[in-house]
Amino acid sequence: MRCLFYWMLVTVSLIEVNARLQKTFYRSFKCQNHKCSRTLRPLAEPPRIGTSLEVLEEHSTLAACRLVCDPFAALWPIPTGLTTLGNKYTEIHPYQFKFVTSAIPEEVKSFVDEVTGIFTHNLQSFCDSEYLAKNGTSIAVTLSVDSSDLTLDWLTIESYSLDLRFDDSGSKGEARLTAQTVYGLRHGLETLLQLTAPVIMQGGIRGLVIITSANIKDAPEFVHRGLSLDTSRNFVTVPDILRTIDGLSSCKMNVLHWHVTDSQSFPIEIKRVPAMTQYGAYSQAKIYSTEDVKLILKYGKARGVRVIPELDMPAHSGAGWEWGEEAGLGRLGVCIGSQPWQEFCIQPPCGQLNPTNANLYNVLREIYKDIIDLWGPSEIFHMGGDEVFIPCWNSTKEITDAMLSRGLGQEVDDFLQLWSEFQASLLNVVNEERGKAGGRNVSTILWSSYLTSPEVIEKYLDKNRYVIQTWVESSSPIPRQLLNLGYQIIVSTKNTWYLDHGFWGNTKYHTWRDVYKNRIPKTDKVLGGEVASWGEYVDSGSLDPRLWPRTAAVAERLWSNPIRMSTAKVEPRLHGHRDRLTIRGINSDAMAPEWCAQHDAECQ
Amino acid sequence: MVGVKSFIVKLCARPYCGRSKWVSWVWCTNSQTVQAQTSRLVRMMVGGVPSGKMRRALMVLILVMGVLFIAMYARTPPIVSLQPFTARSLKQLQHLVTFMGNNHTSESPETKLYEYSEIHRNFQSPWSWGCVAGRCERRAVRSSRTSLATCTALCGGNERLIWPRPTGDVFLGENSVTFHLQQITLVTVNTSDQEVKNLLEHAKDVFLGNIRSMIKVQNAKARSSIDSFVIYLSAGDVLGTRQTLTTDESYNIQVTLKGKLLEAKITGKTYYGVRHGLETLSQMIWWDEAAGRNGILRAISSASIRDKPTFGYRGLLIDTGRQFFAIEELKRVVDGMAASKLNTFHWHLSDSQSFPYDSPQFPEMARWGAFSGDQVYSPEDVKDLVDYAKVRGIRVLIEIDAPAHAGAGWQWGAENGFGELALCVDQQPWSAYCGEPNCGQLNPFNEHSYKILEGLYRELLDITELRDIIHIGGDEVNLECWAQYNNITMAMQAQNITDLHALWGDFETKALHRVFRANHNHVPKAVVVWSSPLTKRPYINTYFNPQLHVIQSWGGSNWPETPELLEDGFRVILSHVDAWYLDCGFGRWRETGEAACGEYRIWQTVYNHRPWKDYSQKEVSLILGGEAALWSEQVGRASLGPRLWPRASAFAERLWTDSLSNGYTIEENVYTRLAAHRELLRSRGLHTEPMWPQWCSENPGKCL
Repeated sequence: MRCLFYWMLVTVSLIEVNARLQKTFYRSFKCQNHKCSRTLRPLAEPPRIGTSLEVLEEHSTLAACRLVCDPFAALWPIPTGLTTLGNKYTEIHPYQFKFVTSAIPEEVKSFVDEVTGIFTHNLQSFCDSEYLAKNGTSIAVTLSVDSSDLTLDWLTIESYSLDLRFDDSGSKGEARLTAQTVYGLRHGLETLLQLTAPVIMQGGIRGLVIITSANIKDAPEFVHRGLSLDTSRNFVTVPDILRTIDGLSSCKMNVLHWHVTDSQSFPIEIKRVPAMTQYGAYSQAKIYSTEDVKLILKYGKARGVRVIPELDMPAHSGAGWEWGEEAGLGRLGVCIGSQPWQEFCIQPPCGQLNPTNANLYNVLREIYKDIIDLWGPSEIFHMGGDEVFIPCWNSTKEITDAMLSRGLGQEVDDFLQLWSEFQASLLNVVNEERGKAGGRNVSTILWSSYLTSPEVIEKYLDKNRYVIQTWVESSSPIPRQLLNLGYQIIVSTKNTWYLDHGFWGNTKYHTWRDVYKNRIPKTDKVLGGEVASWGEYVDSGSLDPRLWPRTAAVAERLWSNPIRMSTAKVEPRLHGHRDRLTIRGINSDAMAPEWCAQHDAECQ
Repeated sequence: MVGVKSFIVKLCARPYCGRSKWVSWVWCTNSQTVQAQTSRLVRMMVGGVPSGKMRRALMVLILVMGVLFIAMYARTPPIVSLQPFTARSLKQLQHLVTFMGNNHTSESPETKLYEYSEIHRNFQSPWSWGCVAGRCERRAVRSSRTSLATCTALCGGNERLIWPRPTGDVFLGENSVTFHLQQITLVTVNTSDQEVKNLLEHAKDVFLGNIRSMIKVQNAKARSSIDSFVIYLSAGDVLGTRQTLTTDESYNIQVTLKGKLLEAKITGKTYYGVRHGLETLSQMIWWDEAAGRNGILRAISSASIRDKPTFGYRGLLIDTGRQFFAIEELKRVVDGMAASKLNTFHWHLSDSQSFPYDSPQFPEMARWGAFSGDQVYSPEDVKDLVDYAKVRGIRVLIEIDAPAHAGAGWQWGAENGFGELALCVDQQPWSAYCGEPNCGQLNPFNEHSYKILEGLYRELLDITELRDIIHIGGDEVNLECWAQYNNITMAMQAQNITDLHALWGDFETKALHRVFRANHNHVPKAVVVWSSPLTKRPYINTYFNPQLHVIQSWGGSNWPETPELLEDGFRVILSHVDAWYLDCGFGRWRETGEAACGEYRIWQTVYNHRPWKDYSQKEVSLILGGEAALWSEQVGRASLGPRLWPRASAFAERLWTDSLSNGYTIEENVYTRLAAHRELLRSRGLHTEPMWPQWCSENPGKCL
């Protein structure tokens, strides 16, 4: 009887095991002609990881396959310097990276610690906790940095060189990462991270492998590689912004151009002028507090991303500026919410600052005091300056009267004069406050506009003080003309790098291929480019898929600027980077059916 | 006694529910509950007249609780970690950043942090909304604010708030009451069938969950203006909860305020009607953030609505063949559908790219066909979704597309002795053998293919228990795929078949009989097939039967396709590609060729599409309804929500309400109601696309 009981027990458990085995199956991926493809048959066990001595036939994950199959080890963006990569990998554990920081200047040691901490955290997210508990091959990573400077700007040297090798047995590894600045070092670690890949081990545990040899020299083609993010049309939460910074850092983008305010809302807390958010924020939950901003800036810097704020003025200002009269300061903004809006602005709600109200400049001074407190006295600001709608000012008697008293008429040139005076006064206020805070005069970025049109720009804007961000179509001569006049520019090609297109009017959605293929002029005066996410039709609900993977496509254009690289060749690597983003919690849009991601070049 | 009370108040007013890593929310909530209980006790003692022993006993109780409180307080972590977020110094934030860098959790700590700090920020908004000529206008005020939600709910006549707009008589009052969630009681009355009663219990939970999700501040102290809120549900003497093509979805609601009792009566003729009524009722409830210090729930206090849908079939297609979506993600889709009374979740389960269903009879299907071992649906998963949907008034209509759009998962036949189940699987150049890579088409001469198809449908139909409507796919067959095989052409010759269309038609006939058997020989009222060359003249009259087949017409709305089908007397479900394909507009996903289907259909395009406006009454009677389709070539898991909402909501109103439309302009009330509906979806946790800048929602009518 007892025997029977045991027999039944064994049988039942066998059936259970059988059922479990039946359910679990694994995939493997094979490399052929530098392309990875899923093999046809399901496997009962994942393929072996092997030792570092072997070139494997099959891999348990696409990422591992790409690591040794892709000519660039699926690095994104591809390095610009001499690069040699091995074709084998070996098992590694996140905690087995031993960082040697003796060649790091004291002043930047804590920063480097933070950067290596982020590196380890990202590695961990590849692995299951069972795997994390194990020990394995160790790798000594010797870091060295020349500069003790933590400044991140257009002069920061972001190059690095990375040398990674393992001994013949594959049990001991060594890496040397050399950079001039901590930011170059950070980029190097990002590359090192991309030289690892998740694998599936026996029993389904997710582990990690690293390529066994790599020698990379790398430096960016453009110094300004940015994403412009609009948080005014619709609010974007702080965690969303932090996650976006994660994404930017994963592809070595270095600027988050934060279009904080617009005529729709004013969501950034100004401690000295609390009315700005009280009137201008959508709700109390939709405010970036001073602490939030500090967190965002700090978070960005540790990831090599400089946050450049833009309070767009004098147009695109309405929400938050309504309280002037009540406070006895007169109208700070005009045409705010005027209807029919078509007569006063290009998009509702209308609103434009009142440049003839002297009190406005006092308020601006207070606002910028806060901004300088947050960002620091020598940081570059974007001052907006786009789409001033002359009929708004022209229909405001207070303004036309004041213009008359200054000897200005009501012609377009007169309004441009008024606008340029506003811009000069604003810059003056900001520079005075910078000076008081111990800063120096730095450049200011402005959107291209009437004021920056090549015929008149020299009359209004000093080429040594202003950098122009052009947002014209790729066929427009304006960027070239501004370059010829000697202006520095940042390019945001409207017909490919505007991520909001395709959801309104006659605009067309720009696929990652369109985005990737867009090439911008390459001269000393071209600082770089920015991809733009305007917020009319995007908020937290759809931010990630709107930005990614297209922003990553721009990242490679700006870092590597490949000349002979067809999108067909690029596609598998971008699929690979998309998977990396997913592991980091950034949910990109799909580029194609998943089958295509699993079968390189089969869907063309 | 007073001392104890003030001590408690003081203790609880301290912001000790700050973000400490270990206690955080749980602790905070507990203490507040305790506080609530204690203060109720204190009120009893102060207000009531207990004396003697009773008073002493209560005193002791209070003291004990006080001691407990002090004990709890003493056990909390050091005070530093309990500071509210706004008081944190940058140094602490730096610590946080480092902490985040070293923390291995899926939910990032900063998310929790911001959930917390958002609620506790101090902020006095000057904005208030007033009703001016049926429209809410924003203005700055010094005191007594009216929130946008309250204004929107009470302003705008009878064409307000409810999405989709009811089709019968509507009266919506302009008064409201405040109440707490706990004051709601749901009572089933006049309902005889036990099965209906049981399902209503689930519907009650869903309703309460939906109301709970509106609450923005837990334990807000604002006062309720009523004593109780009783909701009576009546489904009459209907038997069973089976959803069929003729299920009556109509309902009535009466909301009346009787003194301090708010009463709502929902009457339907089936479970589904009552459920829709509850959905409508939940849209008459909102969170009023301007009431009291932290806001409170509010409801319209008088209303009467008679409502029923214009079209009986209101579907949404989700494609899990091109991409895998987890069951939880599909449940969010069902949530969105329920909110706008869509009633059919058309699950395009498999395609040539993957076969994610883990069939117990044919485990090889998923093993060969799923993207990975993690990307499969077990029968339990399917059942889970079916049950979830049923409670929300939605049938799950599962399609295993055949004979085309079938490749992945069908490759295991040859090496298991069943021959080639599918042909041209993954064949290149794909453009010669299928509409998009990767290719695959079932083998029409292999009996095993039909047997497996039958087995799969049997399993799935036993789970969905949907006996009266079955979708069998049938689109985009590439005849060249079959024509290239010698044995097929030879077999055709042997059977005297000359036109390859006949081969296809033959497949449809055989498949149909298999599906009948899978349905336990129960002949369904509707067998749905996609429109295709085979559903065109002359083939349609040879291979399809108007009494049985329903054609899902997905061609362009100005094509002759739909009118011809109606002329031939076929019932149709409309899914016109130029209006109701929600996946269009994202350019081409391949290196070559054109973008799949043109531009993005903005919600206005979706809403304005009213192809039946020129049809005769007889023709309209053949339209079962419509279906919006989200094919997933270019839909990642994060875009599932925003691609669907609010556009699928706009689609839902077209089918439920079918307001007259000139095809170009949309009335202002539609914008206002849809903006409110989007907020409702967001409160229920759905990811949605914005309709416009939020400013436009806050300033109704100003962005048109």
